[in-house]
Amino acid sequence: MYAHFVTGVTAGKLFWPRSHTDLDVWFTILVCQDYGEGIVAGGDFAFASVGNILKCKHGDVLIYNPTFHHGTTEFKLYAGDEDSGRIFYAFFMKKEVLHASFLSKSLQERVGVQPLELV
Amino acid sequence: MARITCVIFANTNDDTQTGDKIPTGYDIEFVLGGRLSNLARCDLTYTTATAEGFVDATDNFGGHLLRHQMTASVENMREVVADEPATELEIVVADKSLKKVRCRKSELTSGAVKKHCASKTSNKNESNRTGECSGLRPSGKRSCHPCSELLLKSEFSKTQWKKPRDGQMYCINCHGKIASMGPMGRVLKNSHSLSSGIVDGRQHLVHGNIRWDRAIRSSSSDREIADKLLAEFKTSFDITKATVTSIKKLGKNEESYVRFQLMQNVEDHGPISEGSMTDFLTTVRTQRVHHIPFQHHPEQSGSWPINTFTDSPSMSTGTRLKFRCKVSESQYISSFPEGRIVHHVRGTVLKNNDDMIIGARCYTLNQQVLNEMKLVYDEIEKHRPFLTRGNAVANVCANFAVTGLKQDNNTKLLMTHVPRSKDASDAYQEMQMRSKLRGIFVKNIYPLVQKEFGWLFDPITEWVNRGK
Repeated sequence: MYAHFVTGVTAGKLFWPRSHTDLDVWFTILVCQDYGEGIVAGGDFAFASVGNILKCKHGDVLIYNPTFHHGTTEFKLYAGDEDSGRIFYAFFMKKEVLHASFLSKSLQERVGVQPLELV
Repeated sequence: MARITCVIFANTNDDTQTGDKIPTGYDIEFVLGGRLSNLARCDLTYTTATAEGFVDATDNFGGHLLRHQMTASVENMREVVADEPATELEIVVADKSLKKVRCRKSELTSGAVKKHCASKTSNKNESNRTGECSGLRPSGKRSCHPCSELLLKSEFSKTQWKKPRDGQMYCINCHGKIASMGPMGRVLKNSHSLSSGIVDGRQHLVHGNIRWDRAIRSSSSDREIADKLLAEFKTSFDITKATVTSIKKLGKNEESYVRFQLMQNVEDHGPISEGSMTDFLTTVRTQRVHHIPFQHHPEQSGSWPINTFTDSPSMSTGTRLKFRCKVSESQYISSFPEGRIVHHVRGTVLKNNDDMIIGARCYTLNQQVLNEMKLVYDEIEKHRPFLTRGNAVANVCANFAVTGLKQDNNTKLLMTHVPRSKDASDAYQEMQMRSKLRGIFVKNIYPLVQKEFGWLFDPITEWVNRGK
């Protein structure tokens, strides 16, 4: 694993996706970070399946079930200020990576540690 | 493919530690599993020969070697987020692109490639056999792989000069330098031969020759074991059925559960209108919108300078944007119902009517950690420039990057996300960034989450650790 149960991390700068679900196998941890002056409004985390939005502020740590529809909401930014905005970091556990981890482990146990062939 | 790793035998619990030289050891970690010296994985951090001083960083020589190591795999040529396994077509395309590099001025069509880059039957021709494209390079010269110089036959040993065109030639001078590096030099030189292209243990057409990739393939028994373990995991931790009650029954971290109960619960309002479930959602428009189509389609080349992306004026006014997806098809936007934005000082929990946690906001990170994360993010942007996701996750953004582990598209084995930069020295920085982000998560983020959601995450962390 990358760290504990986490297999990977995405970092989205002003990331506004369509509401979606992910093929993850456990809860995702999300960190919200503003840079510069941050944002004017929006940029929260919406859950379409329960009709609620978690308000996000600088430094907030969220968790969510990735198998339910989720996504950030549209951002309202300061005009002409490219140095201000919001980043979301998602620490997730992906099914296919977990399987790859098991497969690599079983292969390694079968064939052992392979030496480099030096000519 | 292999990576050099090092272990520091002191202060190993501090990922951000820098300073005086302390005792270190080195290992080589193979992408397909295993380590040469078998040092404990948790102690290792990725490094490069250049960073460790085995190769002179100011010398083009060593960096060049590493750069070629990185591009040896077709994996690096393809977008790492591609969901589909490589097709034969992709393999052929990759091979052609390699040929174009070798016949760089030709801009050849496939027919011309065949003509200039000899098949076995035309190997009798000296210029073809030695990899030259007649008329395109100075006659009688060939390129040395490490120093990239076009050199005369006299600059190469007889053995090197006789190498086939897809072999990497070393001039006498470079050969001497590598020999003087000792074992590290031999690793640098020979690790190229682990794969001439795609790493999957199968047969491939490489520069007109059929070659077996030397990667070790997983067997059906390996896959059975992996499938069984994944099934066991999903039985124990089925996220699609994980209710508060069922997870609490696992009995981990009772203290955190007490804190969790102090958080504010918010009622389930039910799903928003069916047509809007997979739309882009907004709360910042003065006029409510319902399932209106975007004017633009998210094409891979879709990027808009400031104030030009009319589908989101409130974002476009602030920054340049990308609107990307692997498929170019209509996307829609809907306003979220009003009065649904929640925030509570003690934290907020969103549960559905089936007692499942949908989302929650817990503690807030301190500013120092956030400052470090921003620095790490800046490094991510440099080395992982952009990630395009599938249609289900079409998105508008300033940037989107990924790091950590992934499944290799061909072998289905575990591997790391690799830096996309062409500069070998970036690999070291990218690996350090990865290590630091991991350190920030382990030391600062996860402990914070554990306080209120240890009962939710500790069981799974324990299960994963037991498997090690």
